[in-house]
Amino acid sequence: MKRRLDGLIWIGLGVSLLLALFLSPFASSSPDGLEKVAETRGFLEKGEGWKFWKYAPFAEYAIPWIKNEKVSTALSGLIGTLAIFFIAMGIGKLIKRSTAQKALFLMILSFSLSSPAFALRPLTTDDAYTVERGAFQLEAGVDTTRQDNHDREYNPGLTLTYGLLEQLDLGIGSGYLFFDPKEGKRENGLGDTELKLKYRPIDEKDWIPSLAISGMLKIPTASKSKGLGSGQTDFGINAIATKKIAERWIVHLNLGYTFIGENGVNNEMNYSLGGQFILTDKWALVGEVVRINNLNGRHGDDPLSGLIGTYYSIKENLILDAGVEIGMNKAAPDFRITAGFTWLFKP
Amino acid sequence: MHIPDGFLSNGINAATFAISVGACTYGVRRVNRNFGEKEVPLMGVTAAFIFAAQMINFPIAGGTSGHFLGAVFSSVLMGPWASLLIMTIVLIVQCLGFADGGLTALGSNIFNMGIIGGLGGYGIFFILYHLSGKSRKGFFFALAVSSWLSIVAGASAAAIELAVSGTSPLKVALPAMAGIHALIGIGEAIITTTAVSLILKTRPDLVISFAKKGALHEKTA
Repeated sequence: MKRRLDGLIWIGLGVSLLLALFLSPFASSSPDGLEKVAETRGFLEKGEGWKFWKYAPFAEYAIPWIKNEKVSTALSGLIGTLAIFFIAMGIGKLIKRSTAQKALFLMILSFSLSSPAFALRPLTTDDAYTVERGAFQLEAGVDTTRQDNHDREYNPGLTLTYGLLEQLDLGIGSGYLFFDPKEGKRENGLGDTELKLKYRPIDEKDWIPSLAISGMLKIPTASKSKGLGSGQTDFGINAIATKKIAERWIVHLNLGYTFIGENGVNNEMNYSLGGQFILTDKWALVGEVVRINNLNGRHGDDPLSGLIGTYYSIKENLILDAGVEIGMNKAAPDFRITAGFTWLFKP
Repeated sequence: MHIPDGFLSNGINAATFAISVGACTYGVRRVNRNFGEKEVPLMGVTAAFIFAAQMINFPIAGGTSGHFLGAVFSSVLMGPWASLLIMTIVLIVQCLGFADGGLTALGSNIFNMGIIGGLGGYGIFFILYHLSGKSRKGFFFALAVSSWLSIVAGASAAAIELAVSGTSPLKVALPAMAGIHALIGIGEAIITTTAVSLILKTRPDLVISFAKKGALHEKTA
């Protein structure tokens, strides 16, 4: 006999929500056991002024902009209870699934490009701007690349960036890679995952550009045996300057250095110059030149490429884009076509 | 007994964090083996209930309050390893979303409440239940004792961590923490037995540590 579970789940969730909504505002506000001991045994002050994590949206079970204490507690409890329900269910689902499905789920969760992600799409050149505090930026795109030797790559990816502070954001990006070589076996699998922290200490003012620095950590989630990745962790730093140089022109300059984890592979320097030409309040043209120097003394090995593209903002927080990158020497891909969107949202 | 930032030393935080990560990793693998369709929403609703119930502080003697923990409750319902994961999720959300419990003390809080309270409490429950010959009375007796003990043991673990961190000497912290939490534990025992008996009345098949007994086991297949 298989009894339906739904009923009980809804009852359980209902009871929990009612507890949070109607009982939590009337909970005792006396110190709890540990606080009382800390107070009477004189070590309470050890925890004061020592908050490591300052960004809890509902600190002390309150919604900051709701002044009524009881309403504030009740609503924060309601939000927390619902959030926990979905988080625990999501994690339960993740655990239940087989490994292959887990990988697929993670991929959908945090896709991106294995080529430098986190850019102002469709540019690979980064801008000095950071995502507004508390807001998310989701960038999604599909790349089609043909290498100089006519190997092809198809690469859908996602990057999610969160504004930790007004001038600091944190992004995670990964993607799925379909590798279709001219000779040999086709492969596909999860690409590498990149974590990036970007900090903008200086805002544009008069002749001074916006300046930012970012640190990137490449976690080798791509399969080495399939040849989709190096299997090694890379670390990079990037200095970024963004300047509005005329009414319709914004330029971005990047100078970066990447420590490559793979044995026998040189570290890389990269420099790129990107520009945006604003056509209307919704539409812009973009372009860039990217040079990577692999520091082996032979400039023929250093990829040089240029990209032209466009973006169109269909809503204030949703931008569609497309671009074509053309390799200018043999080390760079023949071409890369990319299309995607950027979505900004604030929960 | 959510420990805030600043009470514990880096060494204690690092050690309990490592133990907690290890236990959760093992927990994921254990739960993965016997997780089915019905356990997923149950995990969600159990975690939601524990979070909501933990918000409701009840007054105890001397201007102090306590609240439900739910570690034994969830382990009796869903098994000890699923319970550890549920407690961990609740603690992480409380820490990051509600500034309840410090970020640096997260490992210690998971250790005290999830591992000592949850896994340890379930161990006590399991032993007592089996010693009692798996009767209904024995089940509730084991439930009451183990949920009370989960609070006292978790608080004692916190006291030991405070002492090792040099925050408060053991002979001060341990009796104080254990004493207050012996009272809070009574509340834990009452809420746990009441909640489990309500679930047993309506859906005995959902209480896995009880349903395992032959006669009461309703085959869900």
